[in-house]
Amino acid sequence: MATILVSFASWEPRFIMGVTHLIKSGGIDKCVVIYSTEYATRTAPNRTELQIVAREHNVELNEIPIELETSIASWKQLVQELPQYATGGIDVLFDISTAPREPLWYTLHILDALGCNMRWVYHHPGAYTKDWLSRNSQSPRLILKRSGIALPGKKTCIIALAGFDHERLAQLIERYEPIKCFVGRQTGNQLDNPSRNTGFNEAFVNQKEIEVFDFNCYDASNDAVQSLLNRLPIDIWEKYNVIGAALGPKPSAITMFKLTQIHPEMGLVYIPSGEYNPEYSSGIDLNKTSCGKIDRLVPLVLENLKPPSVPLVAHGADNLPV
Amino acid sequence: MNTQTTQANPFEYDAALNLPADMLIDWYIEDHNFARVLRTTRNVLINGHRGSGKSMMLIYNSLRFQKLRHERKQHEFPPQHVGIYVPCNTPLTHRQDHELMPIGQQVTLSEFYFVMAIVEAIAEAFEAAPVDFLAEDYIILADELRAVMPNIVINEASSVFTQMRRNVKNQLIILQQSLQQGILTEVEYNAVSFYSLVTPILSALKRTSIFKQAHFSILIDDAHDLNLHQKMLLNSWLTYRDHSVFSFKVAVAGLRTHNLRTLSGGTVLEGHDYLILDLEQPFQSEESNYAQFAKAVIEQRLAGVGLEGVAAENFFPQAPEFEADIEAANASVAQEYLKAKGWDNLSDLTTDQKKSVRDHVYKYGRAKYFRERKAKSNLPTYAGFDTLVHLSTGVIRNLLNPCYQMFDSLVSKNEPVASGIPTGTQSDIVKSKSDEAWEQIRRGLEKVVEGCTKEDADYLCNLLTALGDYFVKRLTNHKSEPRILSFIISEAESENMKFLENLFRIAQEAQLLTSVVVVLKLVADVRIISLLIEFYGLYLDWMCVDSMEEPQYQAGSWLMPHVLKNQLKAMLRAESTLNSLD
Repeated sequence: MATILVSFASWEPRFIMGVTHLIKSGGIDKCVVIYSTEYATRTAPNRTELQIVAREHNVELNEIPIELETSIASWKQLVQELPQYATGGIDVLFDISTAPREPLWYTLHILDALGCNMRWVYHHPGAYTKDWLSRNSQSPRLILKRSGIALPGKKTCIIALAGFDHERLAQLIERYEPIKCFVGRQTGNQLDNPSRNTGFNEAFVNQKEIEVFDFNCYDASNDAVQSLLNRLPIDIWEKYNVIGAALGPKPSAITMFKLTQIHPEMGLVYIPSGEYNPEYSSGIDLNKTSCGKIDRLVPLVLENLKPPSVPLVAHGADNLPV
Repeated sequence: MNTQTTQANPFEYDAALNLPADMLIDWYIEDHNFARVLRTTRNVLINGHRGSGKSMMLIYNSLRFQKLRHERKQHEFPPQHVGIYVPCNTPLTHRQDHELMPIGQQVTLSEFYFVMAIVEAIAEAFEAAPVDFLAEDYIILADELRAVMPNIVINEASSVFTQMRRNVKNQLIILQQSLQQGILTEVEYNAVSFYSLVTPILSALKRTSIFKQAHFSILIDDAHDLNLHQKMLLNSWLTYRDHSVFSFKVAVAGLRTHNLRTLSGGTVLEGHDYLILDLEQPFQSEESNYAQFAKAVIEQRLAGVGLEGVAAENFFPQAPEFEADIEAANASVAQEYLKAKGWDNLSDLTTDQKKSVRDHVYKYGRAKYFRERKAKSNLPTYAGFDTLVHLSTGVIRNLLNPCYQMFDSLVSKNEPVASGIPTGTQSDIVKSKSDEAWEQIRRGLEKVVEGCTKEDADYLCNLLTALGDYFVKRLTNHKSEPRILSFIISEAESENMKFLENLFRIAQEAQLLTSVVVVLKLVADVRIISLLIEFYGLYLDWMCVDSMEEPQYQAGSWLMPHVLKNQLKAMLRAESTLNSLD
């Protein structure tokens, strides 16, 4: 069956190296590259190079320009363009490596709504810059179509998978003033994680409303989603308005998306960055590539927003019940 | 002093919504002026920084807490002024799906969310604080609800509020579920307006035997979080002239920049449509309302852990050596003045002469102390309740935060707390808070303030550093005590001001600048911007010599150093400005 590769253009080497690697591996008939108009000039060299690669391998290449600045603009552009290339039952491989979380979630939602069979892949860079990665963060915003089900009278609870940028987490807490937070702290020594995590413990550990636990944010398997669920009190879905944030490594956005498939009452929140470092990362480490699939779920019956009496997620990688 | 003090930290601080109810009631300081304004049947806009106590004030005056106050403090219940608390910083308010719709539908959906939140707040209030309605009262309420909420099912009249809340919940769940489906944004729901739903419900409550004489205050908290349509809707409601049944009390952070337009394109007017209760009050004077309020807060907290009757000034004492040094400097300045005037003995002087000496000492005494301190001497001890109040810049959370850490520091070292916080501990925490603030400024405010670029952050870091250097220089080189609470930018051109105003907004959001007061001077094309520099976290030596007077804002009577346009530019570029500023 035909497979469409969807990717998000970046100036990072891992974008062109990763997509080229996937195309050369075979099985890709069509490639859809989403790119931000704000960074069009910066991504132009990689996009031009991709055109050559696609032509060499007889892969149809299509581009979707979107404006990252507002949720509305990027949603409208994606919802207008993506259905032209992806239809129900088609296999879609989504390279999430360089996709900002908001268009990433929009893309997943649209593909899910269209009935596509979705797999995702994430390419690790060879190294990140030692300098800043992104800055000038904007107001947090809820994701269209995944804003959850909020009820007045309930207090707010945040579930966040946090990476090294703990100031984003602090910003989120400051903004929504949650009564309770569950924070998955990135584990491991990947990419200088411990040094970038400096200040995390001082800021969040032992804060009375914040429960911190270790979590491998690169693992977005169904088992990982289940382990995240196991960390959360079962009554939070009924008790609070729950907001989910993926502030850690990119696969954590998949984990949170899967969580909204199980608990659509949870809203996803995104904190846009106004600026990304032109030297964000270098190289690609294909040995560390993460991948998985996202099964379509029958949404829970939400009549009473009661927590499920049995776990909805079966154990075993990527084996969510349909 | 009571030595049976528990180790519970009395200076616990948290968002008012997250505080346990009994704690909030114990900690709240009744202020007759505020209470009077909140009891008015007119609309009131409450302005205050984050942490200034707006939410606590509204929650304390909500029906649930009116009931708890009745049980704990024998306050009137059922009250004749009923508070319905409606928080706005909720994920429901932050939804943005309405923006996918045509403009008319955007307004309708925004109003639906807002009205549903108010109706839910009414239902929740009466569920949490049951009132002894008569059977005929319930019939009045049930009939009205059946009329305005067509889908509501009320089998037992006494369950009207529960059914009302469930109805709201069901409508919101169904609507939000449908918004999640597919890729189109088409939803069906029963559009409602404030006047079609909230007004009839409140009017029905007013017809009951319990609330015939009552007035309902809709307490809207964090109105700055409403979306644009909701802000304009609320403003339109504020123009509703009939206050016989209800009025609004609206808490806003940053009233000066708050949108005051109505849906019809008009503007709500202070005095006409609403009164202002401004919590951004002067805080420099020991006699200021804020200082007295801060003292009451601290002493109430101390009483809560068994330290009844302990004065805040005694719990947070001033450093004796610092007081002695200041006294010595004052005495020296007085002697010099007497000698220069040819006056022999203070006790022999006339009343006017004595006042003249006092004024001279006030102006030059503290300056002499700082001027004559050895260059390598340690930093002064920053202690004393007045100093802490001053550092908090009019925001109670900024007062409680260091107090909490001081108390915690003692407890963690197993040191006694009942006798007060030693001056060394106070000073250590103040300096540590200051270091944190400077560290944040130097690391870059772009990481903590939304919409702040790296360049903005660099400019502000340069400006604050340069101002600090400048004030230190004034302090150590000038004979008189510099008035350093504020600085003025004159000759400001509009293009420069646009740039500067953005920087000042960022500084305010980072709570490094407390307020920006714009005074239009009666000279063509000259705008004077007076900035009140916040000292919280910025411990510089000049901090201790500020005038403790309220700043003067009258044009022509400036006592503060003027910073001209070019000098400010130099500061922003981090160039040496010390000479040019003289």
